[in-house]
Amino acid sequence: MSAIEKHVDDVSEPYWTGLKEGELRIQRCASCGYLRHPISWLCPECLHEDSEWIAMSGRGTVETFVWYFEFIGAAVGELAGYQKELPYNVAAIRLEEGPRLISTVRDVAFGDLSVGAAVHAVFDDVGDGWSLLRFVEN
Amino acid sequence: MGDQGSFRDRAAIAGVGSTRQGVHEVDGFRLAVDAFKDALEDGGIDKSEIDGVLTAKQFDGTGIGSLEFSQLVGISPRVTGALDYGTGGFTTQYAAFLVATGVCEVVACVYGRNPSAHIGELSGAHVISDLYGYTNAAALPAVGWTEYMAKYGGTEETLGHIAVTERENARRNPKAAHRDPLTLDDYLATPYLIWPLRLLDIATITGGAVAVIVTTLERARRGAKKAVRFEAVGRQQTPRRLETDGYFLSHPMSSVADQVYGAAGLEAGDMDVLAISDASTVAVVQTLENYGFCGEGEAGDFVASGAIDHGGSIPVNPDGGQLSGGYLVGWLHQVELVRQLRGEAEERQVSGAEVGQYCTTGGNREHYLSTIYRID
Repeated sequence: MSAIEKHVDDVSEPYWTGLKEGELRIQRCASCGYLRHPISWLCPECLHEDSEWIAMSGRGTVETFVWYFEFIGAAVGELAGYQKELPYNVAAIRLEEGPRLISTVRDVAFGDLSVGAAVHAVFDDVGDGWSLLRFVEN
Repeated sequence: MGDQGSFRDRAAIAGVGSTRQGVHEVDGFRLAVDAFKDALEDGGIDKSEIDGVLTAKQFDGTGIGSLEFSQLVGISPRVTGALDYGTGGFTTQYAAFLVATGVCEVVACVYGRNPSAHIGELSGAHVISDLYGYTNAAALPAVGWTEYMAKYGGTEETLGHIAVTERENARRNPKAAHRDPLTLDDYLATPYLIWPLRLLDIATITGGAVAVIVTTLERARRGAKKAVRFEAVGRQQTPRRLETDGYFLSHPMSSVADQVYGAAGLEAGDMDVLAISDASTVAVVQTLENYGFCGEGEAGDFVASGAIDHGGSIPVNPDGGQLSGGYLVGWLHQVELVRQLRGEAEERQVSGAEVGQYCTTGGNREHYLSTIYRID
C-alpha cells in the first residue's frame, strides 16, 4: 500500500484525483463559500456538508519551514513518507486564495529557502498511479 | 473580566511529592506510589480523606491510569479521570474545579512514567503528516522559531541562553535529570536536529513521578504546610490548527494571559517566579512575549539581559525545567512552584517568592493554559 492510499476516502478522493490531473483542488462550502482545508465532510463555519472542489492557482508563499537532519521516529520509512534524503524540508504554504497547508519545497538546498519565498505547486508522480503535491520556488 | 477564572479562596495545594528524575529500575506505578506517599506526608493528609484521583496517560502511551492507581493504593474515590494530553497543570486545574464546586474535598493528582527503553528520546513521538515527514511535536516550536526569526530577527544565541540558564538551574537541583555543565559554545557546537532547533532545544524523556494534593483552602490550612492557593486560571484550545492566526507563534497564549491576569487582578510584572512548560526553548520565548513579560520581538534582549536567570527580575524554571530538570509533561512545574512559594527550594530558592505563574502549551499547540498560585 502506498503512503497516499490510506489518505484516500470518499471525502478526499477529488483532491487526489486533482493532483493526478495536475490541479490543486480545495473544497469550497456550497452554502457559505468557506474554503475548507483540511479536508472535511463538514464545514467548520456553517456546518453544511456539501462542497464543490475548486481549482486553486497553485501560487503561494512560504510562511515558515523546518529542515529535518534526522529521520525522527522508529518506523522511519513509514513516518518520513516521500522524504528520502536528509536534510529535507517541511513548509507551511499560504495559498494565494487563503488556505494554509503543509507541504515541502523541492529543488532547494539547505540555507537557500527563506520565509516569504514565492512558490507554485508541482504534481510529482510518486508511483502506483498517485501524485504528491509539492512546491517549487518561482 | 470579573470573576471568570478566579478561584476566590476555594482551592489550594496542600501537599506535593516528587521523585528523582532520570533513569529508574522500577515502573511508573511504583514511582507514582513513592511520590504519592511523599505528598500525603508533606501535606499531613490521610489517604482515607481522598475522594478524587486524577492521573494522566500521554498520547505516546506513557503514564498511569486513574482507576488502576486507585485500586493499587486502595482508594474508592467519587471521581477518577485521566487526561490524554496529560500535562500536570491541566490535571491540577481540573482537581481545583472539582474542589471549588464541592464535588470532591481532597483530590490526589498523580503521574508517573518510566518508559525505560525510551529514556533520552524525544517526547511527542507522533506523526503530523506522514506524507511529508512532518514528525514529532518538536516540529511545532521549530516552525514557530523559523517564522519568529524572519519576523523579528531572533538568533540562535537566544535559544542557547535559555538552554544554558535552565542547565545552570538544574545544577542547583539535586533531583534534576541533566546536571552536567553546559556553555553557550557547547550549545552552538551541537548539530541541528530539526533546524532551526538542536537536541538541546528539545526536552527528552526522563523517568520519574509527581503527586499533588489539591483540596479546599480550609482543609489546606489545617495541613502540615502552608497552603498554596489557586488564584486564577486561563485556558484556550486551538483545534483548528492551520486555520488559527498566529498558530506557529503561539499567539493564542495572549487570550489566556488576558483571562488569567484579569481574573487575578494582576499582570506579568507582579509575578515573582515563572514556570514555563518548556518542551522546547522556543516555548520560553513565546511565553515571555505573549504573556507580556517583555514586548513582542523583544525576548532576545530580555533573555540576554539576564532577566530570566536565577537572580533576574523574573526567574524562569528555577528547577531546570523540562529541558534539564526532567520531562514529566508539566507535572514537575506544579511541585516546583509550591516549593518556591513555601520557601522550601533550598539552594535554588527565589528570594521573596509569593506569587508564581505556570504557563503551558500542549500537544501540537492545541492546548494552552496558565495558572497563578499564591502562598496563603
